[in-house]
Amino acid sequence: MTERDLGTHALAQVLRAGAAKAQIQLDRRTATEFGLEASGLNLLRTTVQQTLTMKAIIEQKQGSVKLNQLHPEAITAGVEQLRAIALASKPDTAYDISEAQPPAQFTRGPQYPDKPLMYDRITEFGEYVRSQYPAIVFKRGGLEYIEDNSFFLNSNGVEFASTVGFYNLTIQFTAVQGSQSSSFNYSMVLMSDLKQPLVTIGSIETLLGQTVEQLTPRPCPQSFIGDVIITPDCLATFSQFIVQPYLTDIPLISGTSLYKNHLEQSIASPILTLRAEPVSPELSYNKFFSNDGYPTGNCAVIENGVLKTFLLSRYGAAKTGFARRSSEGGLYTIDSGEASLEEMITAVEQGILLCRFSGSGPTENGDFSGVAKNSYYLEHGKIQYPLSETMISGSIVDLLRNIAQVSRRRVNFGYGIYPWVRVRNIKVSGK
Amino acid sequence: MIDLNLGSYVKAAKEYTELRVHHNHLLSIALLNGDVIENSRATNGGVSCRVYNRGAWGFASHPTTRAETIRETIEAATDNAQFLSSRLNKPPKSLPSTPATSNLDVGTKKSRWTQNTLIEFLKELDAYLAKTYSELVARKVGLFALETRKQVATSDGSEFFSLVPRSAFLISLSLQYRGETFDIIDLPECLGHYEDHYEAPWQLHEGINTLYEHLRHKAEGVYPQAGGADVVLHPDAVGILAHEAIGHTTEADGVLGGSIAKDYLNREVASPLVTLIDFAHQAYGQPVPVPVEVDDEGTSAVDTLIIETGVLKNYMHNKESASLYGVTPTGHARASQFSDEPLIRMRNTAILPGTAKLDDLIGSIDHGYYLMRAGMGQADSSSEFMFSLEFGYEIEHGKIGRGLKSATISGNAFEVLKTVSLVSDNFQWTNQHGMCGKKQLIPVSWGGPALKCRVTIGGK
Repeated sequence: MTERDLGTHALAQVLRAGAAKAQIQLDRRTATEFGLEASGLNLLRTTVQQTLTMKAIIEQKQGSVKLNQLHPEAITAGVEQLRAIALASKPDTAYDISEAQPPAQFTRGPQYPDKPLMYDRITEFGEYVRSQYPAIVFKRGGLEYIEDNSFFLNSNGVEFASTVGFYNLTIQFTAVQGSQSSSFNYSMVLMSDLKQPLVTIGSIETLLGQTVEQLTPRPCPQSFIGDVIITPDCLATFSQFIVQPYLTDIPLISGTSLYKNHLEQSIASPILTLRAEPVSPELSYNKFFSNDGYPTGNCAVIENGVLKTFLLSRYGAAKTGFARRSSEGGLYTIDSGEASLEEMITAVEQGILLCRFSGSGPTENGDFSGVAKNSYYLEHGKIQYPLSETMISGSIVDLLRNIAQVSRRRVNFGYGIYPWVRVRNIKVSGK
Repeated sequence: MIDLNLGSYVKAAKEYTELRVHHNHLLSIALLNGDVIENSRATNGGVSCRVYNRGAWGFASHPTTRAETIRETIEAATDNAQFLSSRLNKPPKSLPSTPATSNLDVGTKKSRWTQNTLIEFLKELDAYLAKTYSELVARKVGLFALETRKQVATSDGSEFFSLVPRSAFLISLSLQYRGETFDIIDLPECLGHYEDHYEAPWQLHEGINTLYEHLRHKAEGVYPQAGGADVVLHPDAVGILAHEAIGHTTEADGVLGGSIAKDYLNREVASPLVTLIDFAHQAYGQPVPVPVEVDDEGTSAVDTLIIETGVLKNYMHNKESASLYGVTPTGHARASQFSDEPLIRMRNTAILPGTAKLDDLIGSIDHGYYLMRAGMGQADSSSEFMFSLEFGYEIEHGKIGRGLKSATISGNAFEVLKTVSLVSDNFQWTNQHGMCGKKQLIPVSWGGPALKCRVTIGGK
């Protein structure tokens, strides 16, 4: 049975069960992974996963069910459960499905894993690291090929299908020398092919070198208010901090978002442009349609410091009155600036180079605090030494406004493209 | 109950083979300001197989569990192991074998509540919040229940079944105070199905009232002073310290991966007041929050003594790391989903109680903090840890003072534990929804007494 046949069959059953409106999404993921541990390559894993998500609106009440058993009896039982779940809910006029649109099919990336090449690349990577960075010990990691197939259908006739293949390298590592151990470091990069040696992708080689330097960190000399240069690896975390707690469904529906009244207003330095780019050809992973049945599109979230859009689903838009946006978030890029990293470091009288942030997301007020990991103390325009037991704290609101420089160079991780960013007036504290 | 004859598939295996049929059922319901924003059930399950061939593992999984796909999955895992081992060319190695059997069923024997009953329960809870605390700018109530059902058979003779449900309510409150918004979250969780623990929403009212008081104190409170501080850690915070700061550095894969604890075995790493155990399925005569009788490698699960009166005694192992260290594994290998391979995981990690009274701990601090509820935490191979603070209080001249707004706590775990000077005589498991992310998100629990120690606080 094809995905279309299965989807059509499931949708028909949901409608026969009394749904006025319904949608189904069938997702299949096949994956091949070569896994690494400290001892080296030690696992080859092949998996098949499938999920049928069915959503029904009955008497303006909504429910959803996810199954991964797709034989007819399981789908019949799932539909019965779905009907009961939906009817148990409360009516809400905001429940709906996407309106009729032209069908579309999307394809991206390799359609099958090159297993021998995967083995060769991960082995080559391990050998390179052992010879060039003998102090590095892998904690965990792997090179994975993933193929995601998605099929979406709803009772308004919307039909989307996508096939996205990509490679995913994830590594977690530490430097060890004698009795010294550094903080662990990690990287995740997505790739459309394995043409390049893995160590050349993203910022991996930079992180390996930095981790070895981090064997001898020192505490911050004193607490101060200073500059923080956020690296591309760390900026991925801060991009989530900017968007998730303030610009998405829950904070806007609840009314607690700091930025609920700030559309088309300046909320950041004019040198910041943050984009959500789910269909960027520069990224190795694309998401072509949203979970509520709309084709996605790239958009500027913050453009030259101005808040241009929230990232609301159809439900969130209906509840808030703001526009639905063609991106569900994730897959962010930040535009290049004009400075070199060297210029940015030279501009710092006292501050830190923030390579990784260990902390929870900001509060509803925008406050954040956490540990500066794998980071460096900057003083008088130079990198002085690696840091230990140093925390930073501040407010997302102030951070956005105090962006002083953005680098020309950016790093492409396959799921995001980020520059370096220098921010003024962040509190840095030690023991 | 074992209803698939999994052992018959693996008993003739040439290499060490594990076969697992594993289903997770997840219920999620959430109301935001009275609107139902989440109302779903999800089932994810299938069969997986892992084969060990001369130092290389092959793993395969499939969502269907017919006899034919079980055989195909075993074949795929065997082929994967062969593909890798033929290239790695390692010498043959055997794994420790401690076959075990078990039949653990913590499921309810009562009739299951319908979705309608659950939503009415939450609506009533939400109505209580709306009426009693009308000044809240946002309120969220929810129920999340995860039921994990596993059957495992291994070629060296282990066979077990486990059905372990966990249920957690979500209460989230947001309050505005002087133009700023403050929020607080409670996730009271129980082992088992909710029908075995609750009859009516009023049973959650006392917890909600206490939570609201903490939120008010938080909103009207102060930011802590950044830097080192003497603190009393509530059992919930002690538990997360045990899990994040010590537990992760003593998992054997982390030790082999460069954790600083690699050189600390049989050395003093904490105050002699500190004894830390990862419990398997019982503690103090009661079931623990995440009971494991046999792990996903078929190893009998027993308690692991990690720190004894300040001395690091053991790491946590799977079969492979136990073989490397020449010790007996104690049942730490678990997988989150059917398509995941087992990893070394903690189970119920706790520091044991002492003899002091909580009032004495608080009374002994002239200027410091009482850190009551931790949010998310993270660990590091250097043993530096952090966790966010959900709520806490100043201690001034031995008495509880103003509430604390947001903060992050950090420190070097082994240094912090050496500063422990008082340990209270009470013990509790966290009642919060405990999950650990380490490639795979999996249920865990933690607990302890209250401790007096010194940590670093980050704040405005």
